[in-house]
Amino acid sequence: MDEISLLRRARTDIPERTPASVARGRAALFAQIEAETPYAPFAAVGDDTAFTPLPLRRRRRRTVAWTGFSALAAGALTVALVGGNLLGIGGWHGGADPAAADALNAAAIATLQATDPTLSAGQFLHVRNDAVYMTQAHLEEDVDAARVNGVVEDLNTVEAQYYLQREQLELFRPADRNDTWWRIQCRTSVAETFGPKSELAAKQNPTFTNGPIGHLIEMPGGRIKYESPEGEIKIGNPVGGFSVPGGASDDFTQLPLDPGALLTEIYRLTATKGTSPDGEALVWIADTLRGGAVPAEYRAAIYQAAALIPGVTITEEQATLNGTTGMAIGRDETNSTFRQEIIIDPATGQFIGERTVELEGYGPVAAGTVVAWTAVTTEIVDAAPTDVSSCNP
Amino acid sequence: MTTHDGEIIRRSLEQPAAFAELYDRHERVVFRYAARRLGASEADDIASETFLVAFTRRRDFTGSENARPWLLGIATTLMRQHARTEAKAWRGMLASDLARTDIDQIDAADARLDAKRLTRRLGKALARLPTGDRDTLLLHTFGDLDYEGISEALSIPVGTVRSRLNRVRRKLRAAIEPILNQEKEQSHGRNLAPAPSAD
Repeated sequence: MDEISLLRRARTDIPERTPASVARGRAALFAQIEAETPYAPFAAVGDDTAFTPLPLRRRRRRTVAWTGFSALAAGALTVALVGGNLLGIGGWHGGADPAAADALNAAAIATLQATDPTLSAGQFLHVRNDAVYMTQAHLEEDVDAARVNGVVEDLNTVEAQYYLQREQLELFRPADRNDTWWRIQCRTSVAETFGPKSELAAKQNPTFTNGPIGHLIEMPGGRIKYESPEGEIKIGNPVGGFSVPGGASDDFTQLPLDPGALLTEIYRLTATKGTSPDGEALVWIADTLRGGAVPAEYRAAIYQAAALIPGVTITEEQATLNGTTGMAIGRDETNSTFRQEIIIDPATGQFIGERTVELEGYGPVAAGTVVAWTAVTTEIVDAAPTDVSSCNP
Repeated sequence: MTTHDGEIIRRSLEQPAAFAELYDRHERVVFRYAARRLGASEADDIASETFLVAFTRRRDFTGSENARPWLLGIATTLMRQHARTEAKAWRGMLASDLARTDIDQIDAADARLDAKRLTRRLGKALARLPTGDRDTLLLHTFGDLDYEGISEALSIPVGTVRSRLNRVRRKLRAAIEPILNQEKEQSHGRNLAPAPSAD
C-alpha cells in the first residue's frame, strides 16, 4: 500500500452536512445574489457578457471582499471587537456626536408620534427607490488589446472606465404580508459619463438597451422566485426586511426595541461583515431603512441605535436627494475609503434616503464625491401594478 | 441535457440567480474536501464562504465544463487562514482517522500494520509539509483532482503540480517506510531497508 492510497483512507467518515447547514449556505448565496441582482431574475440572457460592467455600489453591502485574504483577518478582528461590545456597550463605546445624536433622537420621537399608514385589504404600500451609482467597466477594444491567445490574464491591467448609472426599483407590499408582493425593476440607464471613453463604455453596456424597459416580478409572500438553468423554481430570501447572517428576515418583531439592545443585535447580525463593526452597523441601518417597509416603532429604535454609534456626525445640514432636502448623518470609515450616510428629516422622522461618499477618489472621482445614492419614497396604492409603465425608457 | 458549469457561470454574469445551481451541484464536494482537512464545523463555514467568494469572483472563471477545480482552489485559499489548526489536526492524527472499513480490502501484510504508529508518522509528515505542497497533495487525494485540475485550482503550471506531488510522495514515503519495512521484516524475517532513526 502506498502513501497516496493510505491517505485516501484518512478521515473518510465525515458526517454529512446537516440539511440546515446546507440551507444556510444556500441562503447566504441567495442573499449575495439578490444583493447583486440589478436585473429581473427572469431576464433574457445577453450575448457575450464576459466583461459585464461592475456596479461599484454594493447594493446590500454583503460582498465578501477578496483582497489577498486580509479581509478574513479583518473579519476575525471584527468578531473580537464585537465580543467586546456585547460585554459592555455603554462603557467605552461613546456614541454619536451630540448634535447628530440630538437630530436622530428628535427624528425618533417624531417617528413615534406619526402613525404608520394602515393598509386595507387590497391596498399596497408602494416603496420606490430611485438610485444612482458609479459603475466600472472596460472598453471592448481595450479588453481585446489585452488578450494573449484569446485570454485576458488580469483584467486589472486594463484601463477602467467609470460612469454613473440610474436605477429604479419599486416594491408593492400587500396588506397581508403572506399575499403576493410585486416588484418593478426598470432597465438601468446612464446617468452621467466622464469624457469620451466613459461615454463609449456606457454605450457598450448591453443592459442599457437590451430587453424590455422593465420587469414586473411576482413575489409570493414577499420572496423572490429564481429559475435554475434546468427550469426548477427556487425561492429566495424575503424582501423589504433586514439582513441576518446568511440571509434576510422580514420579521421585525425579532429585533429588540431598546436602542442599546438593538445596536448590540445589529453588531451581532453584521459581525463578520464590513471593515469595522460601527461602519457596518450604519450600513445595515441604511440598507434596512432603504427597504421602506420598517414599522414606525422599529424605525424610531433604529434612529436611536444610530445615535449610539461612535463616530456618527452630521455631515451636511442641508442635503438634497432627488429633490427632497434633509439632514445627512454619516460616519467616516477609517478602514475603508467611503462614508455611509443616511438622510433624514429630523422634524418629521421621514427617511429620505441614503448615500455613499468617496473619501479618497479614483478615476474621475474626486475625494468627497457622492458615488451612490438612493432616494426612498412611500405611498399607499389601491391596486397591484399590472405593467411597467412607471419605467421611463 | 445538463448545462455545464462554464455555461452557468457565463449566464450568471447577466443573470446572477443562475449561479445558485452551482451551489447545489458542488457544495457537498467542497464541504467534504474541507471537512477532511479541517473538521466538519470549520468546513461548514469554508463551504459557504467558498460559494460567496466564487460568486463575487465569477468573472474570473477561466475553466470550461467543470467548476470543481476552481471551487476547490477557492476553498483551499480560504483554508490557508486555518493552516495552523490544520497542521495541529494532522499532528494529532489518530489511527481511528483511517477508515476501518477499508482494512478488510487491503492485503494481509498491510492488515498487520501498526496503524497507530503509521498514522502518527503520516500525520506528522503532513503537518510539516509546506502549504503549497500540502494543498497539491490534498487536492489530489481528498479533492480527487488530476494534474490539470490541481493546476487550475492553484493557478500553477502542470509541471509544477507534477514535481510537487513527486516531492511530497517521496517525503511521505520516507516517513512511513520504516513502519512498512518493520512490518515486512516481521512478516518475512528479513530487513529490506536500514531502519532510520525513530521520529
